[in-house]
Amino acid sequence: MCPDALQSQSLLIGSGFCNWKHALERLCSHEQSKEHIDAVIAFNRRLKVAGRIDIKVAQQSEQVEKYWKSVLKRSVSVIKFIAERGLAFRGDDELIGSPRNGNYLGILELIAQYDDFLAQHIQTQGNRGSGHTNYLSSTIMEELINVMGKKVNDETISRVKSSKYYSVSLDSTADESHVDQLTLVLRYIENDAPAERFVTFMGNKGHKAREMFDALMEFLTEHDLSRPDL
Amino acid sequence: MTCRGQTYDNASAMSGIYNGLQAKVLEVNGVATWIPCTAHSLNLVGKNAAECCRSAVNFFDILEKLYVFFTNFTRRHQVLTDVLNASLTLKRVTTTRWSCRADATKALKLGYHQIKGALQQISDDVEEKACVRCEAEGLVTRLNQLETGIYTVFWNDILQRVDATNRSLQSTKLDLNTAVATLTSLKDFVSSKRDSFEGYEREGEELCGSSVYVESTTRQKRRSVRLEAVDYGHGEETQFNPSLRFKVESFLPVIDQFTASLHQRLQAYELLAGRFGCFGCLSTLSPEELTTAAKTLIGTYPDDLDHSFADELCHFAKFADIFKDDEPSGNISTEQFLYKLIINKGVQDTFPNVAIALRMYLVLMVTNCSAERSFSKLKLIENRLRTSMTQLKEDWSV
Repeated sequence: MCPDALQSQSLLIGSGFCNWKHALERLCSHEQSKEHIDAVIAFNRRLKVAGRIDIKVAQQSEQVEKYWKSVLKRSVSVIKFIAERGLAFRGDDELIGSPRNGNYLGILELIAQYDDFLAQHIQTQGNRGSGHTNYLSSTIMEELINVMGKKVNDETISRVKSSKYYSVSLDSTADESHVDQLTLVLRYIENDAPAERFVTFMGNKGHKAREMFDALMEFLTEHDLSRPDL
Repeated sequence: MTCRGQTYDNASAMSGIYNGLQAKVLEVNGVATWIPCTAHSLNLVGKNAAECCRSAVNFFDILEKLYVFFTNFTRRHQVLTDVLNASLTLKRVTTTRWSCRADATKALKLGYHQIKGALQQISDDVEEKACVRCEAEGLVTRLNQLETGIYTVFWNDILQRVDATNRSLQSTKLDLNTAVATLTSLKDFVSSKRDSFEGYEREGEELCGSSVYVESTTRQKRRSVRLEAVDYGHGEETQFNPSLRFKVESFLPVIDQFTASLHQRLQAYELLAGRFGCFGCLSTLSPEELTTAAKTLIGTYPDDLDHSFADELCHFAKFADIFKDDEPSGNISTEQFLYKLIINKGVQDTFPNVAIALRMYLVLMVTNCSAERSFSKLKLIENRLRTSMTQLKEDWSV
C-alpha cells in the first residue's frame, strides 16, 4: 500500500482518538470510507464460503430485515394508491378491524384478506398500542409520506437543473381554511419536449409584489436554482 | 439565474411595470421576460367586449335570468329538461369561466324554441303562482324580440370560437408563436364578421320569429322644437332607422371593442414573438435576415449565445430544410419539431447555440393554467371536511 493511502486512513483504524467529542461524525465518515466498505464486502464474501460462529444470529437478522422490508413495501404502495386519488388517509380511530379506521388501514386490511404475509403481520402485530413496532401507525405513515414527497420534489428539481433553462409561474388563492396559498409552477425541457410541473405551495406569503418576490427567491435559493449558471 | 421567462395573470401586483412582481424579478434577472398569461388575456378581452354596450349587458342578463328561473326550482327544471336535448344546458354567466357563456348561448341558440315553449308552458300553467307566470311571460317577451334573436346568433358564433381558442391555450405543451398565431387568427375572424350584419339579422329573424325591432313599435320620443340661444346653426340630427341603429350601437361596438382590446393585449407578445420568430419560418428567410435575427438574439442573451450563432443558424436552416418532410402535421409546433430533430439526430455538438436558443424559447410559459390546475387539485384534497392538514402534508399530497 502506498504511503499516501496509509496517511489518509482514518484515525479510527490507526491510533484512535483521545475523547468521544466527535464520535458521531467520525463514525459516519468512517462508514462511508473505502476501507470500511471493502472490509464489509470481504467479510460477507468470506462468511458465505467459510461460515462463522454467529451464523445463526446473522441469518436471523437477515430474516428480520427481509420481514420489515416486505411490510414497508406494502405500506408504501398503499400510500401511493391513496395519494394518487387524493383520498383521506386516516379515519376516526386506528384500530385494526374497526370500520372507521380510514382508508390507509382499511386498504391494508383489504390486501391482508388475500395476502397471507400481511394477514399474519396484522394479526400478530396489529392493535398492540404504542411502544410496539408494527409500522402501521399514523406516525410512521406521515413520515413515509414526507420521505416520498421529498423524493418526488428532489426529482423534479434535479430535472429542472438538468434542463438548465426554466421559467416560473406564480399565482395565489385562498384555500378552504382561508389560508392564502401561493403556488409555484416551473416549466423546463424534459428530454426533448417542454414540461410544466407544480413544485410547491407556500402558505400565507402575502399579496404584495415584494412579499411574493421574497417567497420566490427564497424557494429558488433554497433549491439552488438562483445561481447564474447551473 | 437561468430563469428565462415568467408568467402570471394580469393582476397589478404581478404585472405592474415599476413595482409588480415581474419588475422585481427583472431587476435581479434581466432576461426573465414577462409574458402575461394568454388565457387570462383572452378572458379579459371577452369580458370587455361583453360589457361594452348596454344591449350586450342586457343580453347576458337574459341568459343569467333564464338560468336562475329554471334551476332555482326542481319542477321548472324538469319542464326544461323534458323539452331540451340532454347535451345542452343553461349555465350561469360568470366572468371567470368563459366556456359557460359559450355553453349558455349554444343551448339558447339550439334550443330557442324549446326554451320558449317551456316558458310558455309555465306561464300558461294555472297551478303556478302568479308571480312565476308573470316572470315566465316577461322572459318570453324578451325572447320574442328581434334584438335577442340577432344577439343569440351573433354571440354564439363569437363565443364558440373564443371557447375553442381558450381550450387550445390551456395545453401545457403550448408555445409562444402558436399561442400568438391562434389569438391573431381569432382577431381576424372576429373582425371579418363586421360586414355580415345582414346575415345575422336574417338568422335572428328566423330564430325569434319577429322581424321588427322593439324601437319601431314603441312610441318615438319627440324632440323639443323650442329654439335655444346656443342652438343656432345646428342642423337636424341624423335619424337612423332601427336596423341601422342596432348595427351601429350594438353590433359594431362589440366587434370593435373585441378586436381593439385583443390587439392591445397582443402587443405584449410582439417583443418576444419578434425575438424568436425566425425559428417558425427558417426556410423562407434569406441568410441576411437570419443573421439579423441571430444578432438580435445574441444581443439579448449575451451570456448564453456566442458569436458563432449567426453562421450556425444559417447552417441549421439548410440542415432543417433536408428533414422538413419528416415534420408531423398537427400535434407539435415547428420549434418543438426542430428541437426534437437536434436531439434525435444527435447533432447538439454541431449546433450548440441553436439548441440553447430553442431550449430558451421552449421553456417560455405562455399561460399559467398549470398554476390554476394546482388549485383545483388542492380544492379536491383539502375540502370542507378536511381542513386541518398541515402545510407540508398538503405539499406532498398534491
